[in-house]
This record gives sequence, C-alpha cells and structure tokens, in this order.
Amino acid sequence: MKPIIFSVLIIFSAASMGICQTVEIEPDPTVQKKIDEMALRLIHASTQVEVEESLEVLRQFEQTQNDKTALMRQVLYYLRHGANTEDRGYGAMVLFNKLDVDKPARVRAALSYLDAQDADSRKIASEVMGTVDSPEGKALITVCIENFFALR
Amino acid sequence: MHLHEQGYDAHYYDEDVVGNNGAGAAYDEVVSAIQDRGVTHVAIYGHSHGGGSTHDLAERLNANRAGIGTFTINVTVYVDAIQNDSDFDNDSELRFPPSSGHHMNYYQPNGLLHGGIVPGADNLDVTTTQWGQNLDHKTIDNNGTVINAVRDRIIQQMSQP
Repeated sequence: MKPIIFSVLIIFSAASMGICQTVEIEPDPTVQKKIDEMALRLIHASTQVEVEESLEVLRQFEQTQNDKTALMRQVLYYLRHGANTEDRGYGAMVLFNKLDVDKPARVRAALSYLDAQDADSRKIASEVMGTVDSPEGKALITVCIENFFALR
Repeated sequence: MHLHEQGYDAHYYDEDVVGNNGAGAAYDEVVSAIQDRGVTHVAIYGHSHGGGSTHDLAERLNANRAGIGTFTINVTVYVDAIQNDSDFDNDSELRFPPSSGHHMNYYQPNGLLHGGIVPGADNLDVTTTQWGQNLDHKTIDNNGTVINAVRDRIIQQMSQP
C-alpha cells in the first residue's frame, strides 16, 4: 500500500506546483479592448446575419490567439473588471460560451482567481470550474490529474 | 412594490441566490414562509437566468414538498428565460416548472440570448405584438406592458383557490 499512497502524493504535489499554480492576471489593453468590442457586438446582434457576422469576428480573433489559457485569463479579467454594464455582462456571458477553449485551458485560467482576495473574482473562478465539472460529472481534481498526465 | 402594497409576502433576489439544484436563500425563505408564516400559495417569476432559477426553485420545492408542508405553486412566470446551470449558461429555459398550476412565458426569439416556447405554458412571443416588436433580451424585462402583464397574471392566479 505504501508505494501506491506515495505515488498519489507525488501526483498531488506536482499538480499543486504546476497545473494548479495561481498566477496574477495582468490585463492586456489591446486584448481587453477587443474583448469589449466583441462582447458588445455579440449581444447587440439581433438578426441571423448579424449573429453570424459577430461569431465570424470572434472566430477570426481567436485564430490570432495561440495561447488559449492566456486568452481565457483575459476573458476572466474582463468579466471581473470590464463587464460593468448590463450589455457588457450579457455580452461577456455569450463570448465565454462561444469561445473555442478546451477544459484544461479553462481550468488553468480559473485557477488564477481561485485564491483571489475579493469574493467576486473567486466566484468567477468557481463558475468557470462549474462549466468544466458539470457536463461530464467529473470532480475538478480528476481534471487536474488528467491535465497533469497529459502534459508530462 | 405593488405586490407588497397589496399585502403579498413578496421577496426579490439576484438569480445567483438560487443554486442550480434550487437550494439557497430564496428556497429557505419560501420554506420559512410556509412553515412559520402560514403561507400556502406560492408564485415565482424571473427574467433571463432568473427564469432558469424559477424552474430550479420550483423543482426543489416540489421534490421536497413532503417535508416542507402544505402549499401549491399557483403561478410561475418566465421572461425570456435562460437556464441557470452556471453564470455562463446560454441555453434557453424551455422546461415547465414542476407542479406549477399556471405558467406564463413571455419571450423574444432574436439574438444569441433568448427564451422560447415552453410546452404546457401560456406562451407569447412578444415580437409578434405591436408593443413588443422591437424588444430584445436586454430590454424585455424593462417594458411596462410586460411588467404589468406579469403582475396582473400573478395577482389573478394567486386569487384562485
């Protein structure tokens, strides 16, 4: 039994130092401005043509962002600090949902806010974690471990 | 305010007060009203994620009714309802609130956030009306006609035995 327990401890230790590392989110003014424009465009799209155009603009923007975790961190920063009107709040909610960002990147980004000082940031992190856990019923730690093995 | 003035035991909450399993302060308040203040008739309504929370709250109340006491959910109302499984949920809330005696559903179908037809409900696409043709997800809850219709329907249904 001891080797098994030891192995598990190694995994959790590595996860806590690597995958589950907390980092400060620094806003990128250019990306923040673009996210704001897209959030407003998404929520103001009314006709089918406008909806398709706004989604195409979002796709084109995503293609310029190679680091999906960094992109998601910018989105979380916008949710916390930029989405300060009803339109922007709804727009950010749609933008988050439409972004093609995989679960590991979402988790890595959300971890940045998990032990934040303010409750609003922690709530954003919690909600993002919820989008990862709920669909497949996995516990968050399972996702962390899967990420750890995937990146070894 | 109008409901308060008419003597209703009315409460207003942010939708986040209702968890996606229906638990939270709103649920606790309803249970307290039934068990401690003699309330027997319940109405629940909400806009956007508040509509999703309306479903989740009704679902939990119905599931736990044996332990709560005697009550009926006379009326529920969705206004362009979105499911509220998380803050990022964009899905239209199209489920009928469990055990609701009457469900009113005002929605608009345009854009990336919108409600839709709820089977078994009294549905109205407001964009098919003259007064609501330009409403969208952000403006539908501030429209006077919608607000008055919701209030009047609640009062009407709550007076039913």
